[in-house]
Order: sequence, then structure tokens, then C-alpha cells
Amino acid sequence: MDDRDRVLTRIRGSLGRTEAPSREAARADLSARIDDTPPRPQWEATRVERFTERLEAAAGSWAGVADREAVPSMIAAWLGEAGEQPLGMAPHPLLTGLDWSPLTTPQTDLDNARHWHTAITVGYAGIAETGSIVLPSGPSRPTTPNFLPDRHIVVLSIGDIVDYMESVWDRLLADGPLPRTVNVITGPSRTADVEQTLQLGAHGPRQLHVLLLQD
Amino acid sequence: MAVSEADFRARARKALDDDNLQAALAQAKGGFVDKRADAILDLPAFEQLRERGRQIKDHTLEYLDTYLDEFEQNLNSAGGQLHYAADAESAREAVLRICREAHARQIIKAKTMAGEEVGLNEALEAEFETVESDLGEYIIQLAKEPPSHIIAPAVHKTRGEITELFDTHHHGRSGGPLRETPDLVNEARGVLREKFLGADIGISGANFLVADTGTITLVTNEGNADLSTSLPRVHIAIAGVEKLVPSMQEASSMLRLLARSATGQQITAYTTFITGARREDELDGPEELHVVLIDNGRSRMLGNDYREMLRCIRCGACMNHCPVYSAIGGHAYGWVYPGPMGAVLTPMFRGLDKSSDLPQACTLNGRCQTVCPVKIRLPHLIRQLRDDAFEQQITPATTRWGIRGWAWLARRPRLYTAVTGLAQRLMSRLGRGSVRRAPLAGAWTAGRDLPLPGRGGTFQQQWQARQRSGQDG
Repeated sequence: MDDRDRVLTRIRGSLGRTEAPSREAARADLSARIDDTPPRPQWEATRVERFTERLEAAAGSWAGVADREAVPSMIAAWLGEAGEQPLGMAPHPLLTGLDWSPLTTPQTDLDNARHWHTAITVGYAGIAETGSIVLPSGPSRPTTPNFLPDRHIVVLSIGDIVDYMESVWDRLLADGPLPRTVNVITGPSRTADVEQTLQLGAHGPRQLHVLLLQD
Repeated sequence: MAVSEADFRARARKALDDDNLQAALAQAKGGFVDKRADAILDLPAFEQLRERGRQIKDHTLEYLDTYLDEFEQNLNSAGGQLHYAADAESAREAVLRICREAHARQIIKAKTMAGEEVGLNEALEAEFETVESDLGEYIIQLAKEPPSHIIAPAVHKTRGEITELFDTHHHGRSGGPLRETPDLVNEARGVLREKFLGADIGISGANFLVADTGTITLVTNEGNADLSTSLPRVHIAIAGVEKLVPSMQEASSMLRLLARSATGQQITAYTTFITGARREDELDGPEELHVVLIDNGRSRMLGNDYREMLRCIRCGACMNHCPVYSAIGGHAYGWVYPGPMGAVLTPMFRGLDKSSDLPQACTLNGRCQTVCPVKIRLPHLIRQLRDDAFEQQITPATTRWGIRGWAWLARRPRLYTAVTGLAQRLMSRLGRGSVRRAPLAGAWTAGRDLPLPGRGGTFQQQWQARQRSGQDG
């Protein structure tokens, strides 16, 4: 008997059966136990206001941007002198098609990602409840730029902000199985492992800046 | 990390006398408690959410075999591989085998309590360069110590001690000036950055496993788990079989409970959902994903009186709110799980005969149960373990005979009244106030004085008098 059989046999023994109940039986028991709508935070503000309020509470920053053509100049203004350091971006059509002057066009070759000072990516969704950015992996959304650089800039369409995390799963699962990884990011990296003192920039980006794009 | 569960008393005594430890515990005290209290203000329905959490976990445990099958199928279709491990040795073997087959040299680890439970680090370090990436875990790895808290492993270390460790290990010097927190964090960032980039294998735990998508959920604030699981070519996740939840919907509810209960956040900075290995059209991500599911005593708990302990989501709220933990810290508990949850889990996983002092080190004040996000009746389980220890004759013979004697007396009301009345009269003649030493109660009076009873009679006599005069309200 291998470990798989041994463990599953023991589990079934402890549950008093020799065969696992069907998925349907399990789901029926679950819906008898819990309501469809979970207890969640509620707010009076608009969805976008809640999103920006929570993002700021998590030490993230943001700015509104009227149209995508304005993205490079907004980034140049936010970066200031740091704009002269190596820039990288996700190979996302919203970014690759832009005229990047006054900056040098950001690199997309991930082999150089460790040298990027700033990475620019495109959010799939925002979550108003927590001020989070959702970045599912895929050809136009590699994972590395979300974590390696010192600064992370995310372009997010205002229309892609949803109230709660659950809506993100509905949207993603409608397109098939989940992507390899879904990063839900709320503010910059932090640690409190030295004497419970909050310090930003532990291993991931030290700053997270969101550009909210009007639809 | 091999630490024995025996000698709890000696370790507790040592912890109370350790000035550095007491300073660190004082620093941490209240922080977690206040942050949790603030965080649940945004969610007035938090009590309903706790009940939902309890139901989700109870349900999943009742259908664990169904969900394990479902998880395995979905993990496989996403390109991941599942490995079961019946015990700690088998778990270490499974991980080592994957590392050897991948011709690994360097391993980067994100924090995993399941890994600590099976002694993974010692096994890996014998063959591979193995580095912990969570800052707290990295600090205690340098100090060669086990974690003292399940979410803040280095909570017992002062900044002075961390300065000393970094000076020694990074610069080969000692006796330097005390360094500031940003300086220490930046230095670790720089050192560990190279380790992330050089590693062939990343090892993580899992906060939840989602059955109907085959997904691993990981929460961190540092981003270390994300770098550990996305840069190396192989990712191994190790987790207990009880980590399953039915779907992403339930995972979302559980995450609301976990972040608030653990660190007092509404959500951690990084909440990551991993489903399988790198897809064909992707530019990065690991080529292989292995999930090692450990039993190690859990299937036994599923069938005994301690099943509800399997609801535990490892948030640490119980220890943050425990007066005993706050006084002695985590190491005194002798194994990887400290505090109230450890007082139940250590006897379960390591045997009650080796850890019978742990359920005794509890005031039964019940705060742990009040804050537990999945409503585990920790005081009830701890009391049950005391009963078990008595039944199994693990409790020392003198204590057992003492309890038996008292029980014999308590079942004979007339005799009980006579004996306690006599004792009360004798003691009240000793004088007023209190005495510093009393026979048979040396341990009790070592730390406090014994107040002498007044002349008003025994408790029962006074109670009856109050009842008669209507002063009971």
C-alpha cells in the first residue's frame, strides 16, 4: 500500500466509510450550512472612493489618468529623476503600443528584470473592499515584474474595479480554468519581523503606484 | 528542529528569568491584540463570519475524502503533481526525492509550519544549500532556533540580537553599534535577493487548498513566497490534508478571517493563488509544481474527540491572547506549535505522554476560544486532554491520589462539611491576614501569600447564610 492509499484509507476509516461521497452530496451539505452571500464589509462611499481609500490605507499611491496616451507622461512625472533608471514593462498591448517619450521605451525582456528599477504592468481587476490589484499570470502579464523591481506601477481601468474578491473568481472562471497564478496585491511589500516595527520594502516593491484610467 | 516536549517547567522557569526574552515579549504584547480589535471594526458581521468559517471547515472535514479526490484531479489537469505523506519521515523523503530528481543545488524557502512540523529544514540542509526567505524565519535560521510564534517566528528576538546575528553572519564582525530597523531589513533584502535568483527550487507551505480548482493559496506581507514560488524552476508546496476548502468562494471568506485574526489586516499585502505549473504561452513561472500533503496524525484526529482542532487555520490569535504564552513565549512549549493551539496539537502529533504539562499550562480563561476565527473550543479540548492524562495514568501518582481523595470526600456532603468546617476553624485561629507558607502548598505559596479565612465560616456556610438573608442577587 503506498502513502496515498494509506492516508485515504485512514481518512475514510475515521469518517466511517469505504467510499467517498459524491461531489453533489458534498455541495448539498455545504449549501445547507451557509448562506449564498458571505458577511462582508459594507461602505457608503462609491466603489472607486472605497478602492482609493483602502489603497492609501495600505500605503499605496494613485493618480487618475484621462486616457492611455497620457500614461507615459504621468509615469515620467511620478518617477522624476528615478525615470532615468532602467524601466521595464509587461508585454501588454495597452503598454507596448504607446509612444513612451519623454522616457526611454521600457524593456520587456524578462532576463533583465532583476536590473529594472521600476516595472509597469496592467491590472486585470481592482477590489474595492480591500484596495487590491488583481494580476493573473499569462502571456501579457508575467509574474516577475510584480515582485522584483523597487517600484511597481499598475495601470488599471476604473471600469475593472469590482466590489469584492468573489466577483474576480466569477469573471476569471468564466474564461476557463484559473491561470497559473493570480496575484492579489494590496500596497507595497512590508515586514514587522524586527520588533513588530512596520517596515516597507521587505522583498517585493518598496512602492506601489496605481494609475486609474478613465474608460 | 528537535526540541523535546518534556521539561516544560524548566523551560518556562528559564523563559521567565530571560531578560532579553521578556523585553521582546513586552515589545510585542498588545500589538497583535489591538490590531485585531481594530481590524474587525470594519466588519460588524465578524461573528457571523466566524460561524461561517466554522461551518466551512466542519463541512470540508466531513467530506475530506471527496475534496481530496477533487483537488488531486484538478491539480493534475493544471500540470501539478500530488504526493501523499503518511508521516513526517515520508514527507521529508518525498521532498528530498523531488529535489534530487530536479538536480537541485540551492533551495529557497517561504515560511511553512507544516515543514517545521516534519523537520524539513534539517533534512534539506544536509544535502542542499537551504535558505529561509521570510525575514523572521531567516533570523531564526541564522540563530539556529525554532520559531517561537507561528506567524512571527522571531518575535522573541530583540533588535540588539538581530544586529549581532547580521553582523556575525553577513560581515564576520561583532560588538558593533545597535542598528536601526530599516537598515536591518534592507541588508536582509540584499542578501536574500541573490538567493531568490540563484535557487533551483522554491518550497512553500499553503494557507488553503482549493478543491474545485486545484489551487494553492499563499499569504505573505513581504512578497517572499511569491519570489520563492515564481523564480525557481520547481515549486514544492507542503501542507496538511486539513487545509482544503471547497471552492474559491469559501477561500475568500476564510481569507477575510485569517488576515484579521492573524495580523489585524483586512488582507495581506500579497495574497496569491497558484494553480499548476507554467503554461505553454507563459514567459515565466516554475516548470514543475509538486504538492506534498501530509497526514502525520491528522486522519486519527478526524476520527476522535479532537476533530475540531483540524479547523485551525494557523492564525496565531489564540497565542496572542494567551496570558501564559505572553509570559513565557513560544520556545517553552518545546515544539513547533506554541500557545493554546500547541497545547492541543503537540499532544496529538507527538503523544500526550511526552507533553502532558502543556494542557496544564493554561488558566482556562477562554480568551483563545473567543478570538478563534473558526470557533475551536480550545479550553474544552485542553480540559479533555487533562482528563485523558488522568485516565491514561500520565498525571503523576501523587496528583492522581490527591484528586481521587478529594473526589471521595466531595461525594460525601456531611463528611465534606465536617472536614472543611474543621479546617476553616483551625486556620482562622492562626490569626488574621495571610501566611507566607502553608503545608502541602509550597509551590503555590512560593509566588504569593495564602490569605487566611475570616471567622465567618466556610464558603458553603457563608453561601447558605446569604441565601437565607436574600443577598444572593
